[in-house]
Amino acid sequence: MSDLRLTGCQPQPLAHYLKALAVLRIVSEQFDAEVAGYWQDDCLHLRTRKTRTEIEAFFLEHFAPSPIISPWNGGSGFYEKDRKEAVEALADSKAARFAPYRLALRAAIRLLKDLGSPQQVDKKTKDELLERCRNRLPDETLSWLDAAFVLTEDGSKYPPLLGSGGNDGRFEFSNNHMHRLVELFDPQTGSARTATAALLSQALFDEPSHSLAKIPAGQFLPGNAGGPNSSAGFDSSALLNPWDFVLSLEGALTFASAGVKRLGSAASAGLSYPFAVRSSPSGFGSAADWRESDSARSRGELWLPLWTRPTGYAELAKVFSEGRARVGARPANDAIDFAVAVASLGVDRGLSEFQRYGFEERNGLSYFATPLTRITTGASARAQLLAAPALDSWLSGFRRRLSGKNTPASIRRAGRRLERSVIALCQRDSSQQLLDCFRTLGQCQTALGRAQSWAEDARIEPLQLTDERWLEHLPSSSELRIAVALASSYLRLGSRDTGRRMPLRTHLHQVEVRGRSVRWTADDPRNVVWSEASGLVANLNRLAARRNLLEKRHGGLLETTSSCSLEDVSAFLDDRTDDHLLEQLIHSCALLSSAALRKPPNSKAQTSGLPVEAGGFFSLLVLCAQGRTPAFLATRVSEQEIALEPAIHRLASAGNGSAAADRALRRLRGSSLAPLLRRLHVEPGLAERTAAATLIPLSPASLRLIAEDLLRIDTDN
Amino acid sequence: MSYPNFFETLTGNAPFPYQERLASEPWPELLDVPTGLGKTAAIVGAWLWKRLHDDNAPRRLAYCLPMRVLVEQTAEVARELCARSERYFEHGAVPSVHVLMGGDVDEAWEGAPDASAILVGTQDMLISRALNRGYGMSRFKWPVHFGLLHNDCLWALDETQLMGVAVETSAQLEGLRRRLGTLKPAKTVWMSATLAAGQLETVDHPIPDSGRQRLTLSDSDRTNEVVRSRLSARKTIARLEGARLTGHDKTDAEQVFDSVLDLHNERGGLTLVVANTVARAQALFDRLAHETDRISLVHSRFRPVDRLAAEQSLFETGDRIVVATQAIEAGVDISARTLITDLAPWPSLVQRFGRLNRYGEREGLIRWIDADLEKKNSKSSLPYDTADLETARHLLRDLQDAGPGSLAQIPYSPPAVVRPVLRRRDLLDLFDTSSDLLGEDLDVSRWVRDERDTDVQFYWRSFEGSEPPSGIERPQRTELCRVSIGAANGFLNRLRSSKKKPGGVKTAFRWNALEGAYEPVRREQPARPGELLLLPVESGGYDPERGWHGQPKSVRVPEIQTQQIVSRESYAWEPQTAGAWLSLEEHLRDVVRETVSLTEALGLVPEHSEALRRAAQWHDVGKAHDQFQRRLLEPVADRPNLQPPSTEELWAKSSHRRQAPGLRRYFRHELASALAWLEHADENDIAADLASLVAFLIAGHHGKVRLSIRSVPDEDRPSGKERLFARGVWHGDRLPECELPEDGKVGPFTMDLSVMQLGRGSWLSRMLELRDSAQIGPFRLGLLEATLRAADWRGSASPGTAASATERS
Repeated sequence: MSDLRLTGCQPQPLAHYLKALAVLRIVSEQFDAEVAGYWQDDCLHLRTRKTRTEIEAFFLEHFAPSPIISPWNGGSGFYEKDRKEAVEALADSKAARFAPYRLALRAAIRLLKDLGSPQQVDKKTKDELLERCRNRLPDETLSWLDAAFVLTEDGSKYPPLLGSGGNDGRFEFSNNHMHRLVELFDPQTGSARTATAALLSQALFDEPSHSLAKIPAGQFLPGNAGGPNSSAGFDSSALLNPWDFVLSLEGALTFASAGVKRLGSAASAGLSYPFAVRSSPSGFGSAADWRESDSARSRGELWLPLWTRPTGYAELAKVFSEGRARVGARPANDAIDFAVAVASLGVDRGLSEFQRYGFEERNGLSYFATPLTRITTGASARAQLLAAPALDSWLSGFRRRLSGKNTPASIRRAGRRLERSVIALCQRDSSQQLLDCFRTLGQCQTALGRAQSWAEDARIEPLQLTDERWLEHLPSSSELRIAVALASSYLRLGSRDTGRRMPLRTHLHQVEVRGRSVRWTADDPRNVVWSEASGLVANLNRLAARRNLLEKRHGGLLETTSSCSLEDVSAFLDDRTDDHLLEQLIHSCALLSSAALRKPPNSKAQTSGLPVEAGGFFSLLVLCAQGRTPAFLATRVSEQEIALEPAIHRLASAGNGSAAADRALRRLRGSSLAPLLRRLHVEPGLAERTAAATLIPLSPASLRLIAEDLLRIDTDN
Repeated sequence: MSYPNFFETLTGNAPFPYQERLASEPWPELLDVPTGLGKTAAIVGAWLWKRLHDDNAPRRLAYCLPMRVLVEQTAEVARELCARSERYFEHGAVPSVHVLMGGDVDEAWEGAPDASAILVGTQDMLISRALNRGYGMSRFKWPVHFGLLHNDCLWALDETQLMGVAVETSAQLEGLRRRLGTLKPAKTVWMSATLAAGQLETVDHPIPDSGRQRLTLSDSDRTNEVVRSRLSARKTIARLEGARLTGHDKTDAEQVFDSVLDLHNERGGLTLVVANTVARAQALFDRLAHETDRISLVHSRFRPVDRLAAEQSLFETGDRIVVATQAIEAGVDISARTLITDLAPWPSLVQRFGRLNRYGEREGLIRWIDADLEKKNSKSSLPYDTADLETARHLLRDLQDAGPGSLAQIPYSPPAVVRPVLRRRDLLDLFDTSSDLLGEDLDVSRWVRDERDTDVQFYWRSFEGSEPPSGIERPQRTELCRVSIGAANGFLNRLRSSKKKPGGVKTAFRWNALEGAYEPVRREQPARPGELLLLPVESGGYDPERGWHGQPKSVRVPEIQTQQIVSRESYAWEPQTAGAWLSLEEHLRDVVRETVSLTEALGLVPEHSEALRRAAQWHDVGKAHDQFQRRLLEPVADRPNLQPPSTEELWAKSSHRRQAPGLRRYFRHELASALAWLEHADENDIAADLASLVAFLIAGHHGKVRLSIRSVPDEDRPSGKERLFARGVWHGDRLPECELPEDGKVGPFTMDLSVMQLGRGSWLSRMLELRDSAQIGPFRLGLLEATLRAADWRGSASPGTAASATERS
C-alpha cells in the first residue's frame, strides 16, 4: 500500500473539499474498493494499492460519471429553448463509461414524454415532476436528486449547497456538468481528449497545466460571476479546469438530505442536511424572523469534517448521514444543540477538525462559500457544561419563549447574545469563551428579573447553575474570585436552625431560595437593592445597608462558604479590577447553586498585605463589619463582641470617611480593643469604595492578619 | 380431509370455486374479486389450510386495511375462523389473532417468531412497522417488528383502492425483498376490485414478463348460484326529481326531506342517506328528526363512544333512517334497502352503492341528488372538485342499474396520482434506527398514508377554576372528537368572543408535558394539527347525537366517564428484573437453550444458527462489567436478607429493583458484550463476516446499540481528555473472566472503543458491510435480531429449566 498525496484536494476552497470527497467515492466505487482516504497536512491522502499512474489512467479511461441530470430545470437540456448538445451527445453515446448517464437521460426523456413533452417547466407542476423523477429515475441518480431537493408534505425544499434544485436562476448545474464532460471526453467513444490528462494532473495534484488557455474563460462562471464571495471561493485559475467543476459536483452527492420529523409529532416534516447550521437570521426584531421563510436570506454555515484515519467511502457517507440535522424552522434554537451535538459526533468518530464555511442562502452557487475558522473537536468539556440536562431543559424552555409575541425586547436581546456566545464556544473551545457564555447567562437572568411577571406567565423559572464544574473551567481572575466570594455570602435571618437564608441573589431580583430550589416571589421588593443605573460601588453599598437593616431588625448573621484573599481585595480597593466585568460576574456567580460554589477558583497564595493608602481605613471598617466575635479576638483580646453599628458603613458609603473612621475607632474601643490609629483623612471616593469592599468575605486568616496589623496584637498565643 | 370440508367447518358454507383455488394454488399477486364474496374468509381460510399442509407456508398473515372499522370486522372474522380450526392444529399451535390499530396495539406476537399468527392492522400500524419506524411502540423494538414482517409473512392488503400510497410502498417492499433477499419467504397479495394498475408497477416492482398472477372469478364462479345472485343483485338508480343541491344546508335539507320520507315509508327497512358534508348531514338529520324518531346520524366528527351508539341502529332491524357522510362509504358491513346520495365523485359513489342490497336479498333502490355545478362560486360541490362531480354526473346520466355486474361495464379509470415511492436507498437508510443529531427521525408518514392528518382532537372535561388542574386524567381514545384544524380555530375564536353566558373559561387547553401543566390555547398560538385539546364542558361545540357542530356555549357537553384502563404493557416481553438472583452463567445457558429451540423450529441454515448461538452465549457477557455488577450488588450491601446466594459469581439478574447511586449513566452492557466478543474473535481468528454478524446481534439485543456506537450528550465521561467513551463503557475498561456454556472460560477483556472511530475495521464499516452484503442485507438481519431477542425474553421468563436444575443439584 502506498499513500498518494492529492495536493489538488484541499479543505479550502469548498470546491476542492468536494473534489476530495468525489475522488474518494469514485475510486472506491469504480476502481479500488479497498481505497481509504484521510486528511494530512491540509490535503487528501489516498491509501491504495494503485499507483498514481494507475489512478490517473483510471480517471482518463474508465471513470464513469454519475448521472447528474435535472429535467425539472429550465436550461437543463431537456427543453426546447435549452442548449441540448451535451444532453444529446451523452444520450446517444455508445461509450461504456457513459452508460449510467445514458440510461438516466433516456429514463428522464421517457418520463417527460409520458407527461406530453411539456415545453417548459410549469411552476405549479414542478413538485410533481420532482416526485416523478425521484420515483422513476435509476438508483444511480438518487444521490444527485437527494442532494438537490427534498420533497416533504409541504412541498419541495432545497438544501443549501446546490441552489434551488441544482439551479441558481442563471446557471444550471447539470447541463454545465454535461458540457464539461463533453469537453473532457469524446462522447461517442468515451476517450479522453488531448488536454484532459494534463488538466487531470492539475486538478488532482495541483500541477501546472498549459492547456487551460484553450478553453474559453467565462463559461464556467455563473452569468456574471462578480459579487462579494466570488474571490473567496474558486480562484479564477481553478475555475477554468473542467475537472474541478465535474468533480466538485460529484462531491456534492455526498450531501444527501432527508425529510425528518420528531417522532410521534404531527408537525410537518423538515429538511435535514449534513453538517449544516443556520445562524439566526439578521434583524431579530420581530417574531417573524424566527419563522422559516424561504425568501429570507439567512446566513448558513457548513461545518465540514476533516478526519485523519484512513477511511473507506461507505463509512464516510454514513457519517455524513449521521451528521444530518434539520435546517430551517426554529434555526437559532437548534443552532446551539447542533453545535454541541456535532462536536460530540466529532469526538465519537475521530473527526479531528471541522472546516467552517459561511454562505448566503439562496445566493445560488454556494461554492462561493467563504472559508471561516476551523473548529477542533478534541475538548468539548466546556461546551458540555451547557448541554447538562438541567441547564439544557431550562435553556430550551427559555429559547422557546423568545419567539413569543409579548416577549420583552430586552429578553430577546439577551437570548440572542447567549446564542451567539454558545455557538462561538462550540467553535472556539476556550475558557475565555466559556466566560463569555457565563456572563451572558447572568444577563439573561437579569433581563428576566426585570420582566418578572412576564417570566412567571411564561413559566420560566429563575436560572440556576448546579454543575460543579463551572468554576473549574472558568479562567480565574480577581474579579471571578471576588464575585464567587460575594455570591457565597448570605444573611442568615433568625436563629441558626430555623433561620432563613438570604443569599446574594435575593438582592439582585425577586426570588426566594429554599434548599435547592429558586423561585420567583412577591416578597418584600425592597430587598432588591441592585439597580442597573447605579455603579458597582453604589450597588454594593446599598446591599450592605440593606443587610445591616435586616440584621438589626430580625437578628441574624452574615455567613459565607468561601472567601477572598487580601490580594484580591487590594486589587479592588486599588481600582485594578474591571468593575464592569466584576458586576457582570456577580450576577453570573449568583446563579451558581451552593453546591456549585463549593469549589472556589484557585487563588494565589497570600503574599502581601493591604495597600497603604486604604489599608488602615479598610481594616477599621472591615473589623467592624466582618469582625464580629471572631474567635481569635474573643478569646485573646476582648470578651465583648463588636456589635453591629450600621452608621459606620452609612457614613463611609456616603463619602464621609473621617466621620466613619471616628465611629469605627470608638466602636472598637468600646469593645475593649485598642487600634493604633488616631484620625484618618479619606477621600470621599475612596471611602465609598472601601465601604463597598467590606462586603467581600475574607477568610478568618485574613481577618486575623488585619487585626494583628491594626491592633498590634499577637493573636497566636 | 378436503379443502371444501375444511372451509365448511370454518364458515358453515361451501367455498366458492375461487376460494378453493386460492387454497390449492400458489398465492396470486392480485385477488380481483368483487366485494361481498367472502374475500376475508378466502384469504384466512386458505392461509390456515396452507399452514396445516405446507411447511413453507408463511407463519404470519399480516392483514392490512385502510381503516380501523375494517380492522375490527376482519379481526372478528379471523378470530372466529381460527377458533373453528382449532381441532386441526396440534395442541396450542392454533394461530392467534392480534389487532394493531391506533390506541390499541397488541404486541404479544413479537416474542414468538416461530408461532403462527394473524396480525390484523391499519396501514398506519403495519406499513410503518415494515419501514422500521413502527407507530405507537417503543423505538427499541422497531427492528423486531421489521424482521418479523419481512420474513415468513404473507401480506394481504384489502380495500386497496382506499389505501393510497401504502399500495406503492407495499409494492416497493415486495420488490426490494426480492432484490435484497429474506431468510424466510414473504409475499404480498393485493385485494381490490378497482386497483389502479399503475400503482403496483413501481421502479423495483415491474410487471414480470409472465404478467401479474391474478386470481379472478372464473366461469365456474359465475355459475355458482350464490355468486350469481350477488353479482346480479339489482340496484335501480335514478336522479331524485325536483332537487338540486345549492350549497345552503338548510335549503338543501328542505328540498329533499319529504322525498326521503316518502321513499322510506314506501320501501321500509334501512334507508341510507349519504351527504357530502357533515353540516349538510346534520341539517338533514335535524329536519328529519322532526318527523321520525327511528333515525340516527353517522359521520366522522363524533367521539368514538357516541359514534358507536349511533352506528348501532345500522345493525338493528325494522324501519329506520341513517343519515351519514362518506365516513360510511367503506367498512361497515351493512346492506340498506334504499340509498339516497348526493352527487359525488365516481369512486365514492361506487363505494356508496356497495352499501345497498349487498347480498342480493331484494332489489335495491338508489336516488342521487344532482348539484348546481353551473353556478359560479357555488358551495354545492364541496368538499369535492367540480370536475370530478361532472364526470360522475356524466356516467350516471343513462345508468339504470348500479349492481356489481352493471358497474363493471362502466368505463372509468381513476386519474393517475403521483405518490412518493420508497426507494432502495430510503429503505437502507431506515434500517438504522438512530435519530439524527437533533433527535429527529426520518419521516416515513409520506410512504404510509396519502392525506396528512390535519385534524385537532377535542375532549371535554369539567373542572373548577380557570385552568384544569394538572392532575386531571389524560384523555382516552373514546372521548376524542376529531375536528379539522380550520374548524377548530374558528370555533376557538368564536368562543373567545362569545357574549352568550358571559364569564367562564373561554378557551381550550393544551397539555404542556415539559411544564407538567395545562396551558390555555391563545390566539397567537392557535391549535396545531395533531394536538389533543381539552375543552371545558360549558364551552359546547358538540352534541352526542349530532356530533361536532361548532356552536360555542350551546349546551353543556356531557362528560364521558373514563375508566383508567391499564395500558397494555409495551415491554411485556422485556421482563425488567427477574424475581430472583440469577447468575450470568445460568442466564446465558437459558438463552442458548431457547435460541437452539428457535433456530430449529425456524429451520435456519447452519451458518445463521451458529451465529445466533454464538450471540446467545455472548450477549450478556458485558454484565460482568464492574458497573453492572455494582448496580446489582451495591444497593443491597447493607441488607443481609437481600444478599445474593454467593459472592463468587457474576450475576445477570438480581432479586431487587433498588437504585445504585453514583454509577455511570446510560451504561449499556450489550456494548461491553459486543466489544468483548470482537476481542475474542480477533484472538481466535474467527472469520470476519461471522464475527461482525455475531457482534451486531449481541449489540442489538436491546435495540439500543445497532449500526453506530454513539455517546450520549450528558453521560458521565472519563477524566482523560483523549479517552473514548460511549454508553457508560470507557476505553480500557476491563471485564473479568467469564464462564460460557459452550466456549468455556473466556477473558479477561479490555474494552477497545477505538472501533467507534472512523477507519478500517471500525464498527460502522463492519455493520455497513453486513447491511450491504448480498448474503445478509437488512431483511435477514431483521429476522436474526428478532430471533435472538425472542430467545432472550423467553430465557429470562423461564430461568433454569429442568435440565439446568438437575445440574445444579
